[in-house]
Amino acid sequence: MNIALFIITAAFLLFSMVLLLLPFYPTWREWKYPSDDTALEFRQTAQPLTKTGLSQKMAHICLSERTTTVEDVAASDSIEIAKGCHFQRLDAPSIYFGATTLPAVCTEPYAALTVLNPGNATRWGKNGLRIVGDFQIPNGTFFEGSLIVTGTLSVGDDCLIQGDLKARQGLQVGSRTVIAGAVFCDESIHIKTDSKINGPVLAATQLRIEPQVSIGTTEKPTTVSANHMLVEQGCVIHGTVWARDAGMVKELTT
Amino acid sequence: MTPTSSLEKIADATGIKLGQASSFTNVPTDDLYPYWVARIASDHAAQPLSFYLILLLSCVVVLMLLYGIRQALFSLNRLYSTGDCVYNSITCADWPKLTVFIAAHNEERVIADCMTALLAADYPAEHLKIVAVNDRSSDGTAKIIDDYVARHAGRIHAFHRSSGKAGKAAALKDAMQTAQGDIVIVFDADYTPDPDLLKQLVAPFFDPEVGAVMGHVVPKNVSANLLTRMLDLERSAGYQVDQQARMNMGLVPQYGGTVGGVRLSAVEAVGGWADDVLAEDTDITFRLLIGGWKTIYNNQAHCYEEVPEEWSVRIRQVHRWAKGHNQVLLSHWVALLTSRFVSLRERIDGLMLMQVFLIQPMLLLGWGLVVTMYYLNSLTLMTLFLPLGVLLFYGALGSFSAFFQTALAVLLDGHRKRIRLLPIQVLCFCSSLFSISSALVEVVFERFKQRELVWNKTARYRKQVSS
Repeated sequence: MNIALFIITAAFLLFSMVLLLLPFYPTWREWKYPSDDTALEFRQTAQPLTKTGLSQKMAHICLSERTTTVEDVAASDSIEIAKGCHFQRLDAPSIYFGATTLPAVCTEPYAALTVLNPGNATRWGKNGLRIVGDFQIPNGTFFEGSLIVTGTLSVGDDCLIQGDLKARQGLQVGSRTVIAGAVFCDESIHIKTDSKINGPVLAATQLRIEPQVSIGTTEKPTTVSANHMLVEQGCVIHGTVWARDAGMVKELTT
Repeated sequence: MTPTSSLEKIADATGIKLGQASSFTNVPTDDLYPYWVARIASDHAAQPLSFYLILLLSCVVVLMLLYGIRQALFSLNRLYSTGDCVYNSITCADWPKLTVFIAAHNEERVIADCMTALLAADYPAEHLKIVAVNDRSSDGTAKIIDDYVARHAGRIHAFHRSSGKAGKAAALKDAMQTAQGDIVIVFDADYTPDPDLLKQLVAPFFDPEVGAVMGHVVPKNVSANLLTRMLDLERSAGYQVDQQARMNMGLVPQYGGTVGGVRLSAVEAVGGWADDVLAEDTDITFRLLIGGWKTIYNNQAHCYEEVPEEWSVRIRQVHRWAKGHNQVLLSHWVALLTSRFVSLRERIDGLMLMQVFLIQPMLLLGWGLVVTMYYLNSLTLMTLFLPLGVLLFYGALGSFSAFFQTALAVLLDGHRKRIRLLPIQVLCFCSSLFSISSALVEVVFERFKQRELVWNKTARYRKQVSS
C-alpha cells in the first residue's frame, strides 16, 4: 500500500475525529466542573401594585391635567386622573377619570327586555352560546350565560347580560348596557356611554371607553387592560387599569 | 458553464457531461429525464420490493422534514416575539371558586411541601378548596395528609382512595366529584407552587372560550447529575420555545396534567374526564380542541418540579408518555380532522402534535430501510433523488432544529452557559428512541388485545420525609 496515501488518510481521519469531538470538550468541562447548574430563577412580571413602597402609603392620588405618569401608580383609597393625562398602570379601589358622575344605567325595567334567542348558535359549556361570524344583540335584550362570537359582536343599548362576552374580531357595548361578567376581545373593544361592567375587560389591541362608564365595584374590584386605552372623562373604574403600551384620558368633546 | 435547468444541475452534480453520452448511464444528457423515468419503471418491474421501500423511505424523509420545518418555525417565532400572556394583566378580580387537587400515590417525601406551598397561595381563602388525593398509597402519605387536614381544618380536604381503577386519571376523576366551582387546578405532589401561581393559572378562565390552562414547569433538582441537567435543557426547549411558540402562533398549546387546570363544564361538554387513558392531559387537550375550547399556555406561571435522576426512571416515564400520546392519536385523529370548531392551522399543528411520538419510530424505520435497501442493491434509484432531499433540507432544518430550539430556550432563560451541554443531548435522544418506539408497538398490540392499562409511578428523590 502506498505509504503516503495511508498517512494522508490517517491524518484526514484524525482531523475529522478531532473536529467531531471538539464540541464535546466544553460539554465535558461543564459536566465535570459545573458553572451553571442551579434551578432557574424567575422574576415576577406582574407584582401587585400595592407592594410598591411609595404608593402603598398614599390614600388618595390626584394627577393633574397633562400629567405623564410614571409606569405604576397605586393608592389605597382612590386615584383621580384628569383630562390629557397619560397613564400605564393604575391600581386603587376607585379610579376616577376626570369629573365623574354616576352612570345612568338602563332606565327600562329588566322584565320588559327581550330574551336573546339566536337561531344560528351552538350550545357552549354549561349555559353558553357560540356563534360563528358576526352578531348583533338588539337594543333592550336580556341574555343569561356566556356568549362567544367568532367575528364581531355588537351589543345594543339598554341590554342586560348576565354572563361573559367574548368576540374575536371586535366588540362594541351599547349605551346604558349592564354586563355582569367579563368582556374579552382578541381585537378592540368600544364601550359606549353610561354602561356598567362588573367583570374584567380585556382587549388584545385597543380599548375605548366613553363617558360615564363604570367598571367593577368597590366591593368587587376588577381589571381593565388593553395595549392602548382611551378613556373619556367621567368614567370610574374600580380595581386595576393596565394600558400595556399607553393609555390616555380624553377630554370631553361637546 | 453554470448549470441552469434542474436537469443540468442533476447532471452536473452526478458528473455527467452535457452534450454527450453520460459515462454514468451511457445515455445522452438530453434524454436523462425520460431515462430515469424509464429506469425507475423498469426497476419497479424488476424489483418491486425495493421500489416500495424507496417510496416508504421517501415518506419518512418528508415527514421528518415537515417536523424539522415546524420546529424551525417555532424557534424563529420565539426569536422575534415575546412570551407575554395577556391574561397576566388580570391581577385584580372577583376570583371564582377554585378547587386544587394534589395527585398523590406514595408521596410521603414530597406532599407536605406541596400542601404548605398551596396554603401560602395568594388566593381568597373562602374561594379556595385544596384536596389532597391519596390514591391507594402504602407509605405515610395518608397520615401526612390527615395531619394537615387536622391542622388546617376547612382549608385542606383529604380524598382517600383505596379501590377502583389504578392511575392518576382515574383517581382525579373520582376526586372531581368533590370539586367546588367550575375551575380545577391539578398539581402532582412533587410540585411547589409560588404564591402567585394560582391567580396566574385562574386568570385565563375569565375568558369564556378557555377550557384549559397550562403553566411553565421548571426542574428543581437540576444539579443532581448529568441526566437532570439534560432534562433541564429539554424542559426549557419544551416550554420556553415549543409551548410558547404554539401559543403565539395560535396553534395548539398542550395541557400537561400538572401545573394547569381545566374548566369542569368544558370537560363535561366534551365527554367528561377519561380514566382509561395513560395521558389524560393529552386526551383532554385534544378533546377540548375538537370541541372548540382553547388551551392557554402561561409562560410566566412557573412551578418547580423534580425530574428523574435515574435513566431507568426516565425511560419508563418517556415510555408512558409515548404510550398515552399514541393512544390519543389512535382515538382522536379522525375527530380532529373533521371537527367544525378547529381552524386549519390548529388542525395541522394538532395532527403533528398528536403524531409527535411517531418521530422516533419513523427514524428507526428510516435507518432500517436504508440498511435493507443496501442489501437489496437498490441504492441506484436512491442515488439521485433521496440524498438531495435529505442533505439539502432535512440536514439543514430537520436534525439540527431540535438542538437549535434547545439553544434558543437556554438563551431566553438567560442561562447561556448551559448551552455547553447541548452536544451530549444526543444521549437523551438515543434513550428515547427505543423506549418511544417500543411504546408504539405496545399501544398497537394492546389495542388489538384490549389489555388493561398499567400505570407506572415516577420515583421521587427528595431525601427527607417532610411533615
